[in-house]
Amino acid sequence: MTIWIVLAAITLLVAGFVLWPVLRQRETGADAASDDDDQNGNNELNHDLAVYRDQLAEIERDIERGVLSTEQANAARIEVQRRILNADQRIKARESGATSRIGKPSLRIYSALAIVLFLIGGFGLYLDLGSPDMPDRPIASRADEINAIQQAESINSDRLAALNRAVSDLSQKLIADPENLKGWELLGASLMALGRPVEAQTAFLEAVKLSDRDGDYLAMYAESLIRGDNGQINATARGVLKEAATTQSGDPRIQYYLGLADAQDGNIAAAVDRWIALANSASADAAWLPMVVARIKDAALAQGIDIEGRLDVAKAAPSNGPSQDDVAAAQQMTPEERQDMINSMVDGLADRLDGNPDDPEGWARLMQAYMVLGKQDKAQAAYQKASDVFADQPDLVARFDALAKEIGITAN
Amino acid sequence: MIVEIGHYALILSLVVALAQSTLPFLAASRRDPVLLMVAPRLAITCFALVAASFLALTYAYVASDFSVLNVLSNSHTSKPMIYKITGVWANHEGSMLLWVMILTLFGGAVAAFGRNLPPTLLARVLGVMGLIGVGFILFIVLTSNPFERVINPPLDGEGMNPLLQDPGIAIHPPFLYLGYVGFSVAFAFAVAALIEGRVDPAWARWVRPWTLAAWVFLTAGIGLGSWWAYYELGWGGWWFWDPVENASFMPWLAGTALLHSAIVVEKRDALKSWTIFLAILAFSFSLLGTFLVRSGALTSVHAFATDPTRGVFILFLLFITVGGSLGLYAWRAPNLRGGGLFQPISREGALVFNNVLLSIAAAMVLLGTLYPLLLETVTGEKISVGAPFFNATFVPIMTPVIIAMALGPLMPWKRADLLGVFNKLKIALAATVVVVLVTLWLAGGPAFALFGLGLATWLFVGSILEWAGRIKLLREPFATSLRRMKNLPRSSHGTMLAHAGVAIVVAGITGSQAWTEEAVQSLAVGESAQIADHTFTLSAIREYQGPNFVAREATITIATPGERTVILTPEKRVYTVEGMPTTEAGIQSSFTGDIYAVIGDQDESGKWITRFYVKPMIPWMWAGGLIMVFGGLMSLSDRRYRIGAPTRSHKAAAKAVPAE
Repeated sequence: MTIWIVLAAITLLVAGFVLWPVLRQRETGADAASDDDDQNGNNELNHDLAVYRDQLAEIERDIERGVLSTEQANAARIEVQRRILNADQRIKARESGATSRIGKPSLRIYSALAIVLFLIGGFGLYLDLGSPDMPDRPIASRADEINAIQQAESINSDRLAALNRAVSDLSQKLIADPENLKGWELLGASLMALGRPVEAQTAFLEAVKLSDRDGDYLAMYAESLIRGDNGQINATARGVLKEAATTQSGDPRIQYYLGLADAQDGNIAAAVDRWIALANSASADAAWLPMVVARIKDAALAQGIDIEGRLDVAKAAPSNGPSQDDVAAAQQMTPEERQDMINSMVDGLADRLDGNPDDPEGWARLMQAYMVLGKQDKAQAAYQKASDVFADQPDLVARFDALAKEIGITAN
Repeated sequence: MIVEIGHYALILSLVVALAQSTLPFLAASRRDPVLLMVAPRLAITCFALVAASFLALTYAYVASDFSVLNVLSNSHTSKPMIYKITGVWANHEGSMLLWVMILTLFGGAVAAFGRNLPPTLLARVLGVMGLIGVGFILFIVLTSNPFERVINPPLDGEGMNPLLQDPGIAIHPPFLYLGYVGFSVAFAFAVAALIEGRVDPAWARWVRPWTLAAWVFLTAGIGLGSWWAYYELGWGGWWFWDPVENASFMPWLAGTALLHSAIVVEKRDALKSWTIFLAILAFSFSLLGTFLVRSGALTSVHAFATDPTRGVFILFLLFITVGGSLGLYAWRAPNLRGGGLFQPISREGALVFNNVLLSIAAAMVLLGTLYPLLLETVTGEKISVGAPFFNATFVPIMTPVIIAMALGPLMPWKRADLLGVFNKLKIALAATVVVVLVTLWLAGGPAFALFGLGLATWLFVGSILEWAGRIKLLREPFATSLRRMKNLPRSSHGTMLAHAGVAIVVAGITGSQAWTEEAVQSLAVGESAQIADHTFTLSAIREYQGPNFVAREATITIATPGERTVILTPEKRVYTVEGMPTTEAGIQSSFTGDIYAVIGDQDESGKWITRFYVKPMIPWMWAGGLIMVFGGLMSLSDRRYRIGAPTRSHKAAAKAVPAE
């Protein structure tokens, strides 16, 4: 708000200063304008006379210096005097011709109006070009931003340190126990997170072999190959992706990267077809869905492909996972607060499963969450309860057993 | 908010300039006394607004406000404060804003001090300056707006060209612009005179101080620029006939010619049309220089930004201004009646001679600058027109100018006696012969050195003699001479100083070109090199951390038999933010010349590459330039040119400015 007051004040000041002679003229009424003009003429004559008087004086000085003889000096004086007469006549002649054109008040009013219009135009131009709402951001006032960045850097370095620690721990473990499929997967994922996709390839390849070429692991392996080749989908990666596509795996990366391979071959239409199929088959709350939809729209727009009505993506249902706000809130908290929040979220999940136990994914998440929080007994209880709820579905029970084994819950 | 106020002030200055470029012409043609009073107010307001926006930008630099794109791209928090301030104009947008601020400053000054001018002439002059202002402010607002904002500003900027982080170059652009843009006043007076259809001695009197001021600033700006090139680029050179240097030299030549021809208009009411033409030419050269530097047609340290839109815009402005003014000149100039007649051998004749040759010199520089550009555009062939071309053309043209410079001031107006003038210069002639013979005996040549020093002596002694003659030195008792000296118009002292300054510059150029000695070698610490009778020893090397650079500093001890030992500390710096190296030469100046040392990198054997120069007489060049500037200021302070010179009756003064 202040800025508008300041800008208005500047504008008024400018208008007032510039138009003062016109305003003043209005107040005092019809001033003797012709008197002013006489004044102009006299001034002009005075200016010219001053120059000529000076020249006459210079002639005297030249005589003194001996540069001019008396004769030459006389000639020069006559010449200067002739110029004085000329100047006088010229001014007189012009004055007699000019008096009739003086002092049209309407001219002044129109001119003043024009200046006001100009100023308004300038204000409009500023509205177009300026950013009146943007405050100054001198560096001295940005200490909190600098602190935040430093903090983020230190959090990031903590995370990297943890990942590095995980990589070395896992490597040690895998030397002792090379058959640990989950270990290889974790090692690969950690290396990917550290931006070391080429090393991750080795880990994922082990996982592929150990899992008897399971589609999910093939997809992870393919991703590490692609990231290791700067996003290019080379022949090896294509082979892996095609093999993965023949498995039961529903990993969205398979279809996504096959589409990207089409796009890199120049076949954008095929890529878009594949991505649309992928997007339409996705559950509405899949985290990757917006990215794929954006990709489809970009490609369609760039290539002029009509996708009208082809995308059939359900509106995302309210997610049960932590919302963006929750994550953002978590970053602002002290470690104790964060712990409390995680605890309350886990408790919420447990409550929800009590009321609506028909959610195998939910039970699996709850088991894992309790293990992460170090509450082995509660994890054990959750495993027990899940097995009971789905006792009539042996394949789910088998999955719970496998998960329990994997995350270290003792069998019951 | 300060930044946005600055932006608003800039845009408001555009519309005020728009009013300034129209209303005064209307007021002058209708001779409306009230509207005529509005014209100076517009010019003063325009300056106040541009100055406010310049201050706002300076504030953004000083406070490191990186939400301003211009600050983000050209500044850095670790820069020392002085370079945060000079950084304002060490980039395209900021330097254009400085350009316009100086333009409006001159407009405001003409308005403030020009109350003695005939009101219609004043209004038209301000109108023309308003037109130029509209063009350039529009250019800034549309293509080079320094107030563009960044929504999510990073926490530090991208830094500034380290070559420009130097006190000499920091104040070079303001001086150069004061010179360039100062000619806009003479230009505006010329165009206004063409519109009024009248050029008289009073007109010349009003034009001269502005032209002189511009000339003084331009001389200082060029001097600073060459001095900077000398010690910062590390090659011992000071003038490269680089197109950008030529761009500043052409207006200087035209301005020098204008300065002299305006004298003829004032004193003799002659050469009117020619003087008008020179005034148009001098400013056109300034605009051409701005175009060459700002359009990116030339790549150099001065061309901060290369953007075709900007080039086209300035080219358009150039065509409008130059084409329009020359068109007006072709239409109106034939009506200007010449006054006094004169013989070829006379003061007027000498000044015409000077004008013609200076104009030819400017034309040669123009040809040498534009020809390679044109050739490249037409045939794609790249050629370089360098020192050989300019030496071959420039020296023969300037030689007669310098010979005549000693003669001119001694000649009376209208008709002179050449033999009599030479008679007064007997002593100068004798001194010239003595200097040439002594040089031949001491140095044995080369021929051009004898010639150059001879010319310098002739001009120097000739200028002093003319001045001594005026105060009757040695011919009357000393007290009389002293009294006469006090009574002499200051412009006479100015003439003498400026001409003597030129002589000293010529001597400096000649001496340094003829007798410079240099040696390039690799030295380990403790080793020495020999140039003439100076022994250069690399005594030590150390590294240190500056505010925003790391530097390697060498200590060079120079022993000369029979003289004091000199210690120089040349540096090589690497500016960390920009990742650019610069050289800081070590220079010891004395009356006889400079000793100059540069430290380079290590070679394979671990020795340091060093360059040493002994440059006799080179400081004379800058000393001479300084004396020229001083002479110009002396003339400017002459009572007769003090702005508002003619004294007016008290009654008139009270009535002419009723607004106060």
